[in-house]
Amino acid sequence: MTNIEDELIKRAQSADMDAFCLLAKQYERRIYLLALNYCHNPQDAEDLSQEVWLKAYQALKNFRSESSFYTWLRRITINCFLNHRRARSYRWGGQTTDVTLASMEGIEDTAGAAPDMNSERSLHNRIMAEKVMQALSELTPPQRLIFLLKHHEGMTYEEIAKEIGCSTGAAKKSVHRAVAKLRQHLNVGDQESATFRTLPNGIEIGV
Amino acid sequence: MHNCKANRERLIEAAMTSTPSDQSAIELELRGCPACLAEFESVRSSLRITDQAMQATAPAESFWAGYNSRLRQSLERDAATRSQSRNRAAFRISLRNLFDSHLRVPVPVALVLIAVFGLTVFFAGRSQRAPLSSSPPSVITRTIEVPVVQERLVTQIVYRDRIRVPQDRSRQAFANTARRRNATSDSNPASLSGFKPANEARLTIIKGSYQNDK
Repeated sequence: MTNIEDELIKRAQSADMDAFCLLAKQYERRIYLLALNYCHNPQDAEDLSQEVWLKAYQALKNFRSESSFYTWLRRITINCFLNHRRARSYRWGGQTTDVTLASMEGIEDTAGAAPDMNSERSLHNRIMAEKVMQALSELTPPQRLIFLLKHHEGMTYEEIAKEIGCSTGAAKKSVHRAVAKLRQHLNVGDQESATFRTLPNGIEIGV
Repeated sequence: MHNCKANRERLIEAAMTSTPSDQSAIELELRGCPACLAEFESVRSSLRITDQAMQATAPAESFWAGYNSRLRQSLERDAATRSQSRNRAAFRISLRNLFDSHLRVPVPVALVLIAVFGLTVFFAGRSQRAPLSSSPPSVITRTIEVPVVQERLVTQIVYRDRIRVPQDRSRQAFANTARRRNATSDSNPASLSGFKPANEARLTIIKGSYQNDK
């Protein structure tokens, strides 16, 4: 796998677009999902993820194989996300975006959800996703990014602090805050934790 | 000694990163403190729901074909834009190099070159001031047909007065003149010397007309 990846990287470094597209195919889902959870909007997520790939394609000549390709790509992703945040806060004056059911419908439309999904399952999925998105949207963009890097990417606090340019303590605080928000929105309190039930699609919901 | 505050600090980390076996070990450890155990369960459940909700928003397989083609298009567009800007930058650099380039020339050579340049400019200016030699006009022959008005014949009859002289005297005078002419013609050939044209020539023109010309 690594040999194939190295070969693809070498070919892509010599401006082979096909090789780069094959390389992108391996990680595009991961990057897109990260962008989607960061932006809460499929269109923005696609723009952002494609911007990441464009930047990666432009900077690939500087890739020296000192770290893994994905670590290098993740660094580009974080920079893109932070720059995107700056651009948005410049445009919108740093307003947080309210996530509504309409935006989740957009996600499902874009995702092309399977038509055979039963309506109860679909509704619960939507409600839970809505709650999670709502909880994440109440965080500041850096807090959200730190939480996603910790939870989604499994990075250590030290790695996050280094990439984002903050202290380890600040990274920890962001994650704690994100978890508190999620618990608050998902109604997962000390008492409710025992009364979870599993929905047909495997999602547990507090009753 | 169990410390709830210290424990809660590491609960999130444990819920996020630990494997299921590690988590069961933590559960066993927290059995003694129901509050910490409930806290741990709550965090773990929240994170599990978050995970599942995030996965639920993932696009279906059909989405990725379009995504890849759009990615490819944007890469191609970017490559075209970059090659254009690279060409423009190369042209700008070569132009700048042209103006910034230096040439080392010894002072005498430079002076000679400057003098030659000055003389060239001087003579060029003079030659421009001199009038240009006028080239002979070129002759172009063209045949132009001009319509000719139909000619009309005009018959003029000129009469002159005759001085009536007696016949004898005239004959005699004529004979004398003839003799004299013969004599002169014998000695000298006939010439117009001594001929004096009359000062006035009188012509009386009588216009005639045809009966039809009315």
